[in-house]
Amino acid sequence: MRMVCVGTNFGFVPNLFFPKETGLGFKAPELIQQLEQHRRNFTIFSGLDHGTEGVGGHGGVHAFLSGVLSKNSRGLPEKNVTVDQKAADHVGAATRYPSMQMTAGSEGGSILSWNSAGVAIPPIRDLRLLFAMLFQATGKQQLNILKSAHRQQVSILDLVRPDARLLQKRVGVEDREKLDQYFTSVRSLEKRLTQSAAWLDRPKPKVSYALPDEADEMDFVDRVPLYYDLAVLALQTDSTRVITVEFSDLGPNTGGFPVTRGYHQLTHHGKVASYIKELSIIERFHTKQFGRFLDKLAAVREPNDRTLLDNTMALLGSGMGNASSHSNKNLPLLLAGGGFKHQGHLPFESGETPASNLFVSMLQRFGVETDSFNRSTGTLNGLQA
Amino acid sequence: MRATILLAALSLGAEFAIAAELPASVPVFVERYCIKCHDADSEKGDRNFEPFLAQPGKAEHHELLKEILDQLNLGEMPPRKKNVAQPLVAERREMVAALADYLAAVESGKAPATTVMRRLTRYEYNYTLRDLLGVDTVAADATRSFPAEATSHGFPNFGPVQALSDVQLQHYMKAARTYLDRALALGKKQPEVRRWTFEPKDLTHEKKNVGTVRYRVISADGKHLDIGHGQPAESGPTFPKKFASQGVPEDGLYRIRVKAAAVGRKHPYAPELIPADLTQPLQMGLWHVPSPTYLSKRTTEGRVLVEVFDLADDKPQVYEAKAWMPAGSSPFVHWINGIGASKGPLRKIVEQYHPEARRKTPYEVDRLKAAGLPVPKDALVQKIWISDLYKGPRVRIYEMTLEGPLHDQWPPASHRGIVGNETDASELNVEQVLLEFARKAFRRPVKSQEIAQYIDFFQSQTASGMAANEALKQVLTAILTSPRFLFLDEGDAKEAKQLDDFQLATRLSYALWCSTPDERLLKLAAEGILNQPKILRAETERLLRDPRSQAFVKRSTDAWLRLDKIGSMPPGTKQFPVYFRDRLESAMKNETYHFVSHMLQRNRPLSEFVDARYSFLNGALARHYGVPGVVGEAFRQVQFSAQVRRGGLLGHASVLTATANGVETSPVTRGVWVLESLLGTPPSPPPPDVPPIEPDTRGAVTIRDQLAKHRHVVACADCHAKIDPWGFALEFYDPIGGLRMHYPANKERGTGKGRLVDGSGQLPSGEQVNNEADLRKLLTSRKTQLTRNLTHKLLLHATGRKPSYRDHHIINQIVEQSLAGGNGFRDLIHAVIASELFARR
Repeated sequence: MRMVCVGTNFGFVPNLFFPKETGLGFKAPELIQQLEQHRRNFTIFSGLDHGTEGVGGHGGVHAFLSGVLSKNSRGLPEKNVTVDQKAADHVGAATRYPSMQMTAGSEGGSILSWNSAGVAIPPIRDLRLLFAMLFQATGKQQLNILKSAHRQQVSILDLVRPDARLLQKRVGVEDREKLDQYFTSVRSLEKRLTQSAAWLDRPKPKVSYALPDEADEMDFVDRVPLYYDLAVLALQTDSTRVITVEFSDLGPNTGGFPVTRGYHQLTHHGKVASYIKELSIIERFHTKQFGRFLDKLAAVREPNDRTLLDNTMALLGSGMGNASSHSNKNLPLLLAGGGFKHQGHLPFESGETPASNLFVSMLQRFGVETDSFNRSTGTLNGLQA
Repeated sequence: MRATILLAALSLGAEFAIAAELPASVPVFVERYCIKCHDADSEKGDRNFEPFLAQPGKAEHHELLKEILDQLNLGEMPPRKKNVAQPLVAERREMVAALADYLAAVESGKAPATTVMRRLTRYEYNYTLRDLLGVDTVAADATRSFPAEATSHGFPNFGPVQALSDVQLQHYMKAARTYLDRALALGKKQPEVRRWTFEPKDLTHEKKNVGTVRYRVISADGKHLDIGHGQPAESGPTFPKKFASQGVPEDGLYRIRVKAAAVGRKHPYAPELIPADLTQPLQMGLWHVPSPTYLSKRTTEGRVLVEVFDLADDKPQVYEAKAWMPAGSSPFVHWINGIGASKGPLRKIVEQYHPEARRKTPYEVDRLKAAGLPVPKDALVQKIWISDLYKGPRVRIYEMTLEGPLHDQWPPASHRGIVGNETDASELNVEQVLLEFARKAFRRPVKSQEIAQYIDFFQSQTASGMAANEALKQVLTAILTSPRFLFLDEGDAKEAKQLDDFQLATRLSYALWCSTPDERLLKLAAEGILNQPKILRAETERLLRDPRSQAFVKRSTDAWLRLDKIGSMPPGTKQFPVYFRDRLESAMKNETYHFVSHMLQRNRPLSEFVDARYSFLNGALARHYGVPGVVGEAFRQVQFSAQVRRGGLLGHASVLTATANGVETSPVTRGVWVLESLLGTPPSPPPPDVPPIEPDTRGAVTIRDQLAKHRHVVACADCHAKIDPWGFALEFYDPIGGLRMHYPANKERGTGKGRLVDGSGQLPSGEQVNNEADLRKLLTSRKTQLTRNLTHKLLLHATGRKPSYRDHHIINQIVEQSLAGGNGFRDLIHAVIASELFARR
């Protein structure tokens, strides 16, 4: 099983996203029309959010995949760990990369993935770098450099332990927590270094895909499909099983969209029809590209004779419910594929069900034995595999 | 009624429980002045005091009591309204004292509020390595990929919010190695100084036909290159093209000289055709980039701005700067306050002034033919270079030279500072080197056995064949990855103990330099005399005079005034083009840094933070403020005339931008900022599940009307009555701090006159505010609160912990002493550092 979570920084205009009708027979709103071809293969959830943790406007978006604000994560055993990272922990060393984080933005919007130490994992914007990480063979010389860097770092970690123990002996309770964090970091870094060292000697998969040379200089509209292309290839070659993709700012030239003002400005549309219209150009693009991604996943046949889409749960959504009012309530959430019994539009009573329940269901489907995730109260009623 | 509670002592060392008694006067006061609105029925502001009155002594009410104390301090409760009983001044004062004492007693029974071990923040790490290794950490910042840091209300150096992950640890390790490679010259000979000269033809230039005109940016004689009438984007880089593919061969300091001039600042065209501010000198930005990929037109991140030069008109001059550049880097220049893309303006100028330079389009030729008119033979040919006719403003480049790497000695000072003159590690007394390095890195003396593992590592690695130079670098990297380096060791937490002298030296230098203590501080610590008040004061003075104290100004200001928020939601390029063209973002931050630095160096009274009638401006910012007579890049002190609606921090564009979202302003955000950053009484966050205000940009409803509606909702009313009036008066300033009398009619472009701004509001205390001048008056009348707040913020910055009620008496003393003695900013810093709170863990 694979998991892909796509998050936008500004969410979607609610009435362009949520159908009025429930079940499979809904009339598709503007944004959902873009993935009409997959109608039977996704579910739109309404009424789900992160409750009292879903506050803070732009500052609350980063709780999208965890349901916990970073500032409230202290004291929690796994801090504000995100659903993708729980999945990645489950994959462990089985793939070259336990998970990958991509972003099409340059301003470092609101990071999607957070690890169980409560630290944001910086996403990679550079398409050429992503391609190289996945498919470019490492030269012999480079390989030696990497190996010796690994060895170096491992031996350095050995060296600093006595210092940590020395400090630990005489500091207070809270300080000891800090040092525990240090020890944990040392251990997990060692583990990570060992794991990637093991993968260094295994050849990377070969693909016939050609990434344009100027990929990273292209406008947003031209770059976005490439992230999805690389994501499909990464999953198909089993280079990783967990991917997050973040879309925030459009970069230069308003991303190549025919719009008169910036993305962020447009989200503050104040219900002005002409602004919403321009905003919908960008938002339609997002759902259409996600639809194209699903097309590509559906076209890949896997060894178990199912499609890659059946083996990939793909979530599209945001930690922003309504950017115009800076609301983090009623988050836009669309889950496709993954072998779930999809049901079109599945509504929930507002404020009753934490969105984290969806993440529990996703983790279970992923193969993680758990019945809770952060502030969840159970699995998501009505969503079955 | 007398309530006594026993608090279980949580402190590890204390075995006794102490009794804190709530003075009977407190519930009496609450009964008399508060309960009418805060009973179970009304629950104004979501606060119900009945459970408190039923059992006043219970520990669960302590948070409530802290709120009551805040409100009494602020003078906002009880509200000055008809039929609301008001306590006498003496009564109020007595209540404040009683509550403060009680809460302090309660806290003293708890575990001591000590500093939680802090790790170096990203900026502290960079400043520390700059001083420890003697390397440049700005030009080639090795920490650029560090994960973003959490902050507590803007303060990243607050232990409890700091996280350390394996990712961060690996980043520390890699950055340390990068900086060590830069600092050490092990096994290297002094590189030769080389000199490159680039003529216009060596620089990127274009010569082509675009649409109906043709141009070349290099003059026909090849003597100069012009930026301003033909580059596809005039803000794009002009760089030595062939050279840039390789860049400089070695890390090091390079001298860059550019011979340039400004031409055509006075031009014959209609002013509106040239979208640049020509009242200012034309400016040339000099930059360098670590590799050619950063030269692509759309790149913005990762370039390093070396200097901005105000160019003299017409006369070619040589502009020179030195920059530390890593191998592979190359320099570039551009017209930094220029016209952006020149295509549009150029087309209009050709049409109106130089029609002879324009060829006909095939379409026009067809039309002529269709109309039976004669078509000139060469109608489709461009005959005249527009560049030969153009008289508009341009930055003219004659020559660029590059020289380096410049070393005034070999091995370089950074290398000497760590290992001395020897460049072969196998010749070194490594134990000695490591002892000395660990002493500096760990900020206290170390014994051989404490670093035995490092010494052993070097010996075993070299014994098994690793080159000594490499082994040494690895050991040094390890020392810089040790928790003894990465964490500030502030001692034993069993009790709120006094810091020892080395810890005091560390705290002092991180407070005022955000960096490691220098040799003098460590020496005074070793002599055990740093804690003597006279010496501590003299050292504080020395550190404040040192240029390194700029780090204090910048970092504490960023946190205190939340300038860290600037840039996270930048304004729209169409709504506020000047923000980008005139680099207002960095200019506005610099204004505030200059101002705070002046307050500090001149020991100005704190009230000037609110009501100073001067500030520090450069040309671009002065224009933004409508202040005449300031030109150029350099900042200078400017006295405001009576007409200028600026004064104190509230007039700083930085503050006004940090408190807007780039698109709209909100009196709520700005009101909260005043309460939090200036008065130190942040309102509680909105209760969950209250629908937020949805701005209506149709113009039908003003933000004021919306807030009025919001205030009618009971859940919101009481807090907003305390917040909004502080923010209304600042509505006279737009999202980037420009003055406005009207909201824009067209929000999209930010143009036109919409509704009039109304800055009026009334505080719960009954005080009326109509504009920013009233606001300043109100704030200056709250001197005690301003002083207390700043004391708190300084203590938080300097000690990494939040002052508690237990520290109330000491803080009061500092505040009183400051108010009695002229209220100077520098004096306040001295008082904070001299206080026992600073010397305690």
